Amino acid sequence: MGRVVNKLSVRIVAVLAAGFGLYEFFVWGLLGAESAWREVQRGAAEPSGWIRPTAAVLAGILTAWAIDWCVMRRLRRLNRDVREVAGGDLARRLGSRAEDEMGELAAGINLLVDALRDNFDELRTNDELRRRLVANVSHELRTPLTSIQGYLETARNAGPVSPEISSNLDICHRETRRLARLVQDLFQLSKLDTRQLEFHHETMSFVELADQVGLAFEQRMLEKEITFQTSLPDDALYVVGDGNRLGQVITNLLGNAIVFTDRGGSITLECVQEGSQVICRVIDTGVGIASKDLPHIFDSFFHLEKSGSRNLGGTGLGLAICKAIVDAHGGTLQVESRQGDGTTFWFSLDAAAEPELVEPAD
Amino acid sequence: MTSIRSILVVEDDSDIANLVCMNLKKEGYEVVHAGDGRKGIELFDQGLFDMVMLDLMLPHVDGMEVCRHIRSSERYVPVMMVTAKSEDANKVAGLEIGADDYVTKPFSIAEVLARVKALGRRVEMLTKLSDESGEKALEFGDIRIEIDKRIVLLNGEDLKLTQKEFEIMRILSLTPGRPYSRRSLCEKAGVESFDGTDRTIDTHIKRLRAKVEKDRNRPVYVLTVWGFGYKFTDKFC
Ligand SMILES: Nc1ncnc2c1ncn2[C@@H]1O[C@H](COP(=O)(O)OP(=O)(O)OP(=O)(O)O)[C@@H](O)[C@H]1O
Ligand SMILES: [Mg+2]
Repeated sequence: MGRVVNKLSVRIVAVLAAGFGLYEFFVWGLLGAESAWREVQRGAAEPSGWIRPTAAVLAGILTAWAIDWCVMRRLRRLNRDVREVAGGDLARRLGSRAEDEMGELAAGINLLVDALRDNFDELRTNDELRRRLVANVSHELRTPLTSIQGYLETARNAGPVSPEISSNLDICHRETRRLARLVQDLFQLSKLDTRQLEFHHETMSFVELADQVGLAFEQRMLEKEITFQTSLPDDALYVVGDGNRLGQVITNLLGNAIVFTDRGGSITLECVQEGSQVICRVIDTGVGIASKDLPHIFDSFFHLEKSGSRNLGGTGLGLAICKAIVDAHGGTLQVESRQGDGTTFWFSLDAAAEPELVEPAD
Repeated sequence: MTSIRSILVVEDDSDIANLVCMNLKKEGYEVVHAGDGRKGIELFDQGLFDMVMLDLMLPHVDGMEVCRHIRSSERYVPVMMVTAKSEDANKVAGLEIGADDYVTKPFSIAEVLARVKALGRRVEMLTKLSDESGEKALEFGDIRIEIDKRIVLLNGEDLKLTQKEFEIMRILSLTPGRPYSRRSLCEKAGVESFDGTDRTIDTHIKRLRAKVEKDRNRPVYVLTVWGFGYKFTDKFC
């Protein structure tokens, strides 16, 4: 209660003082100055009323300055502080402690900033927790997986066992490998989702990459009696990208193509430059994809019921990862397929200029 | 006969250590196990090992530290790094401080054994080259590298490499399959990188490829390790 009275009295005094100042300024200051000026023009050597108008003008200026000092200066400081908070300094608190509107405004803004910061901190902790969880889980799973996989492998090679045991061991081994891949893929997908997967972009020859990846598939194609062609131009076809990740995309697409193409079919890996784009296509003559399934093909864990790729060791994450990687390169991964006729996956990247040669010293 | 006979396995997980040791012994290697980094360094200093298999995440002294210690010793002992992370940064760091090869958990035993054999062949090749009486030349497909005469022949024809090009060829081909970062290749081959990006090496590699490879855009011998540097093909090993 005392505070209110106190504030009220201060305010009444301030308003009275300002009113008095203004009255002095206009009535005595300006009017007085004008009549003094007229007296001077009429030839009076010593105008009579000099002092009062001068004092009144000075009082007016003082009042204006006082108002500016009290109100505007604090507003400016508040403005500066708010801007700093907006600039990201959430630890900053507005300084005004005065018990007036300005002080209350500052306190209100402080409350807002507090709430913002709490929310922010919570978000950050959640994100950090999630990131650590995924990283730790996949890390912790790797060691036991190595053990299981290794001991199973050793057991399989240990010597003759009954066909039943041998087949059981084979199943265990295959499933363990699948589990290991799942852990790896999940880890990578989660990092891609949260944009935590690092990309090491450099200017690189796409043809060289495609050629290397293609070479690595030749043996498997031969084993499945699939005609495999790599159709690459004579140029290097430079792009800016992460070679390891782009290699992973081509590997995944070729891997799918092998799985879903029957013996005797054919697969082509093709790279071309079309306009300002470098385009990479993986074309197969395999089972194809029904048009109703095409829209879902890039979803995580998507398997076609009929394709039964669940039994082929697939996890249904391959294409989701490919798409995320291509997206991260500013490209798009697309598919075209007719059931029974085969499938074409392709993606395009911006072509880059050949890197300039740094002239060696020798 | 391979020139790797005794192997030091530094691994803190006892199941994995047992697994690796058991399989290496079965292949006829002598194997000693260290359960942490400190023990690893101790055993390495005591015994004469032909190879070290080294887990990166170890209690007390981590794998990187052990690797640095091994590299600081006079004798060249190949190091195979085992990492649980498929993070490229780890591999890069490991290769940069001198690991010869790496496998990522979960690895398959067959893969590990194959790589140990490959490292063995590498060491064998190096010993043969340092043998006084032996012929000092390497052969890979159509390529022949005569170390003493500092020439490289393609189907018997001298490719007329520059000094730097020959140096790069020699360094890479001595350890087929081992990736070299641009920086370490610059250092080892005495290539100055004045712009600080180590890209000078790319220029040398480009010219080298133009001479060595049939199609310089689709190299067979001098291969790119994306985001890192270069390596020589291990196709012929
Ligand atoms: N070339 C193709 N021909 C026909 N169907 C395909 C082809 N590529 C992908 N598919 C279909 O898309 C589904 C998803 O593919 P994706 O690569 O994402 O998973 P996956 O191959 O089953 O498992 P993984 O995660 O191991 O790659 C496949 O299960 C398959 O049904
Ligand atoms: Mg797949």
